[in-house]
Amino acid sequence: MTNKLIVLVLVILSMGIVFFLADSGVINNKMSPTLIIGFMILSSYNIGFIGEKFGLPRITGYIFSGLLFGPYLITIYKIDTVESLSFLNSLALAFIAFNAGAELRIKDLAKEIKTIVSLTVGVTIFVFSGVTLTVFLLADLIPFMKGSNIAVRLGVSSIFGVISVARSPSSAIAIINETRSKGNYTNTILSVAVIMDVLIIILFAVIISVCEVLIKGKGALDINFILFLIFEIFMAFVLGYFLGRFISFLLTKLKVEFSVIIIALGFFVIKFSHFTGDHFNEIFESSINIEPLLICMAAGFTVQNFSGHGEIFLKRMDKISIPVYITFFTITGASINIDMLKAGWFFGIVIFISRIAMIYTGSYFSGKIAGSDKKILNNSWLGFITQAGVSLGLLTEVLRRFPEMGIYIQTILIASITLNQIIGPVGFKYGLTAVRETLEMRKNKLD
Amino acid sequence: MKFLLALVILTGIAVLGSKISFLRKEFSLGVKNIFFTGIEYILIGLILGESGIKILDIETLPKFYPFLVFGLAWIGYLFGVQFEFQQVKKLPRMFFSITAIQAFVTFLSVSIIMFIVFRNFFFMKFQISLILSIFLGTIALSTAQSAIAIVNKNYKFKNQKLFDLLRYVSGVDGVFAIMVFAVLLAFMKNGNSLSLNPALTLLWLSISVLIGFIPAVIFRIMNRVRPGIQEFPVFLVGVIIFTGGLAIQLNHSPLVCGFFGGIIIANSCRYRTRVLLFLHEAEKAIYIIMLLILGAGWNPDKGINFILVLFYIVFRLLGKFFGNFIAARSFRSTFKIPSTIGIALLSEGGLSFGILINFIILFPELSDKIIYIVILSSFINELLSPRLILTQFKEKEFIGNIGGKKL
Repeated sequence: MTNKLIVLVLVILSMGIVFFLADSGVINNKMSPTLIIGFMILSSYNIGFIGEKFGLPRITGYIFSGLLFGPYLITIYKIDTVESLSFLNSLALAFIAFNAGAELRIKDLAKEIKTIVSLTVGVTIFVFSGVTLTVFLLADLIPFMKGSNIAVRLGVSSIFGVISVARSPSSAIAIINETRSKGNYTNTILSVAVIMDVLIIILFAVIISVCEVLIKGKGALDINFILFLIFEIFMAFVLGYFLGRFISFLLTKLKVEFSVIIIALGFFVIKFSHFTGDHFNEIFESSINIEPLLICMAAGFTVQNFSGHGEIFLKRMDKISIPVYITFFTITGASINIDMLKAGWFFGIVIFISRIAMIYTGSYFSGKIAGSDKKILNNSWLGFITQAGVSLGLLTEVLRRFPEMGIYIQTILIASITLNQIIGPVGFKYGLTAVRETLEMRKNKLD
Repeated sequence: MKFLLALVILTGIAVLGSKISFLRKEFSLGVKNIFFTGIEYILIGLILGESGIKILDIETLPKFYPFLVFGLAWIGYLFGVQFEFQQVKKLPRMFFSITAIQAFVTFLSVSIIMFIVFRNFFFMKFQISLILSIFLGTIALSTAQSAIAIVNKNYKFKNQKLFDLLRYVSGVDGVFAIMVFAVLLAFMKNGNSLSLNPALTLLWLSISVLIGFIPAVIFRIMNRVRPGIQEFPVFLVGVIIFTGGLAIQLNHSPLVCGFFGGIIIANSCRYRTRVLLFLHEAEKAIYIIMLLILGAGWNPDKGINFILVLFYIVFRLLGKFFGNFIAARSFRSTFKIPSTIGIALLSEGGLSFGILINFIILFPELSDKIIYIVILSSFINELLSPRLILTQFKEKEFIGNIGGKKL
């Protein structure tokens, strides 16, 4: 660990000198993206490593590194730097989605199907209703909800509820990769997280439409809109299938270059999806948003289950996973808005506690109903805490639809999401260790 | 959208290019050498760029500059890491002296003539003429190994030691090029003029060494415990990016700083060979992307003066010729060194493009005046090189690949 500390000191010292020179006007004040990325890789890797020595998942270290050097603390990553590096986040997210899809094996899913369905439904119902009820009951204490009628209270509470349902498959996959976990528990948690990633889009669309009626008092629930959404998801799967077939073909042709190509493909999918969305908006005045991450997940799933190259695919992805996770989670950490955290900390904690309580209750009862084994029954809740990108994306949509209230909802939920983001990975790693599915525990078992 | 398209095209060409080899195709050795050096990618870049179909236009191109910085640092490390002092010491001292003399004479020949031409025929300002002529002298002194490698694949020679000498000179004179480039940049620290302050120049050079030194030390410390398969590339790529970033932020050369970093790794890190292999693995793809960007950034509409190109080619040739002539006459050798050996060292690509790209990044306003000289002269030199190498060997046997053609 001493080595890592020395490296960290050297890297920080070098950056300190550069910033000093920039502030003194000796060199350009605008930091080179190359320098920032180099610093990010070296500093985050070492912080992640040091964190690991204290039993924390590496991604917590990366998130912490991003937070520490981010725009609200040391400010090595300024707000505009974080924005300009967001394309790296897209690349990483696509990579993670490919990986998540490829980790789902039909034979494993079939084995645990009862538990997976039960946990997905149970946790969703419990978290949604539990958090909605908590906010509804506390409405008089929340300044922007004070004095509003029951319909508005119910609408706003449901928004809190539905966003609390979202989880983070990216964190789950990163921790599984890091700890090299294998087993029923690992498969179940990952499967539920990925399935929820699809379902949350539909659920959010339904709830937000209802909320518009409740809060704004106008409009009606548009069934066509829901059908359209299901069509978009179907399209994502179809495109993902063909992309998966193409990737399988590439796997047989490319070796070293595969990692570059897969990242470029992911980026292409993201941009293609945004481009078609904008294009449809402009030309047909209708919005078609084929979720790029669903395409990538479906592609990964296709490679794993319909090509016979699944394991090679995962092996090659694994080779470049460290820099991808470093980039993604450091930028995630740097994007944490501490000002908002400060502003919404109290209700954030309340929602955080209520969400965890509901996850625990929901997963316990669901597990009981499905007849899951004891280790899943007692530990599955630990895998469902983490929240990240999806929730933040949904919040942006809330802000767009309810500009006045949205900002208050965002402040509170960001505080809660931040806590989930920090505590969640630690919880999941603890869960994987408790059920003895990490590589280290499996080795100990054999010994 | 354009950036996306450009990214996809560049990646596609780089991946395809790194897999395609023209060495077994039925081309003359000169044409093969052009493909081997990658000059065709500059032309493809030109088509993709502002002068062509505008995929890599003025707005899109700067978005790829961080990649260029990274690529230059990569090349610097690749070059530097090959200089393990223990190994270099084992080679004959005469080889080093010959290399130094031919490099010095070529540098002087090209720099002086180009300065006179720039000043008297093109009426450029004194400082600009000086900078550009020294820069061209720097580029001129380095020799690429591509032509020698191609000839080696196709012919067997009786005078193998002479061939080893050519290989040595072409491998080592790049070090002189990087060093002279570093000194030129040290004098140019104020922008478009040269300031002759030895203390400041020394300080500038020391900072360049330091920028290479710190990341290399970081790399060494990170590798104290044997790194895993996944971690090693992260350390190395992280360190290279950091070196490039530090260099460009402090207005230094990523190539030069990377070179110093590479030397430190070569002489202090036990994983030197692993580093070298890893750097070699992705070298071609990185190099292709850099050439594509170089081509895209080249705007021939700003003027091409063929007389300048001709002057450069002729005086580089003369420099190489006389440099090696003097060197060959100065030392007793156990094998026969033809007095015309200098003309076998004309191949130019590789490092010279790296130095050119670095110059463009640091001084874009000056580069328009010389970019075409380097590109066009490379084209001609690559074409002629294999033939000129063969003229130096009386006893040779063609062992070319199936489908390969004699000259």
